Amino acid sequence: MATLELIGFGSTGWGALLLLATLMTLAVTASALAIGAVLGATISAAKLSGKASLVALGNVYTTVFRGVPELLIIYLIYFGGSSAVTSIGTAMGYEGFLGLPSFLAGALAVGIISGAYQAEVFRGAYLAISKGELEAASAIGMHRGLRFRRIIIPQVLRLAIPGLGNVWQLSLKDSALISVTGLAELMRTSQVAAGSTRQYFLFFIVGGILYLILTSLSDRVFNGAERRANRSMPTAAMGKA
Amino acid sequence: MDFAFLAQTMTTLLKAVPMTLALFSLSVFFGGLLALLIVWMRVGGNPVLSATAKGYIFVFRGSPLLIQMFLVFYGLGQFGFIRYSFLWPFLREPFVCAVLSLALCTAGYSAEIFRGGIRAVSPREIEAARSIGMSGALLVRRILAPIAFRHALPA
Repeated sequence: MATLELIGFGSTGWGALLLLATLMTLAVTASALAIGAVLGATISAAKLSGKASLVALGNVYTTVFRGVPELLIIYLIYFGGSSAVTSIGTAMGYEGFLGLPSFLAGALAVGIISGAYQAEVFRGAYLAISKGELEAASAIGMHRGLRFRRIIIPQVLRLAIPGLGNVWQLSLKDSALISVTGLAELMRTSQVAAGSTRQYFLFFIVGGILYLILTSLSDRVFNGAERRANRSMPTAAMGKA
Repeated sequence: MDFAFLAQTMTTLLKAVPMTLALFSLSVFFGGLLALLIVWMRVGGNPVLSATAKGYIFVFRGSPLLIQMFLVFYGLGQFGFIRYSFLWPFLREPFVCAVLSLALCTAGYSAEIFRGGIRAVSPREIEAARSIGMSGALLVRRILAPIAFRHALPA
């Protein structure tokens, strides 16, 4: 019963903290996905623009951030960002160390990485739109902005859902690495709980189960979204893929 | 720019490269072997084995590698029967724990890739092999494995 008490919600239990940490993990991952969506859309636009310099820039971005370990990016943003903030502080007359908030640094780092993956997802979705539809839109006299809003955006979003689901799962697991900055998310809290109670196995198993709950729930959400987005498609070969 | 410092840092970093490569190649090797076993369990007809493999893949793909690593490194030492068993001298080593958890995690991902490769083999080719009288093992070796491997390579 001591075990149940430890992970329960009583005064000696870690339950409330673990639940809070799970919400923190969700929050930081959602922010990262939002940052990544903006970056990814920009990068994929650059890669599809056809201008050699922009294409090269986009390629460098996706190659670098998909090829470097996540932990390195997190360290780079957190410590590099902190020293940048500190030097700005010194210039403005503030003495001592100024840290970048760990939530911001973590969301930014994971967001930059997920942006690289999302760029590829968006690019693939755009290329999957049939050329005929784009030509048809031009043929009935839609100008670029209207065509983008009415034809391209809705289809890219629909086609990108499965890929975005993958990126979300990746970011969810990458967010465990943000624990190195001291943000009290799920990984960090399990670590602290395990360390202070010496029940390493128990708390890492509980942490792992909470991650599994998050990933399997979000899998359902994305499957539902995919079904909903495809509900009017004639070739209903979707559903279970 | 302090070039002497940079050069010194670079040599220190370069010394760590073999360790990264060793961890990588050992975990990919053992992970690959384990993945073959899991994918065999997964696509074989036996429902118990298939469910076990499904569970394995779900757990190892659904949770972060860091938590798996901590579980192996810190968690296992908590149990008396592991601590006093013949395995402990190995499981005490960080290197062994790292390879073990990397291999376990890689196996989950590779098993799904292999399964995709196997599913991409056309049923007609299997039927053709059956009709000229190939046995199970020969079929796997000559038809299934080469085609599935070719499909799995990009992933």
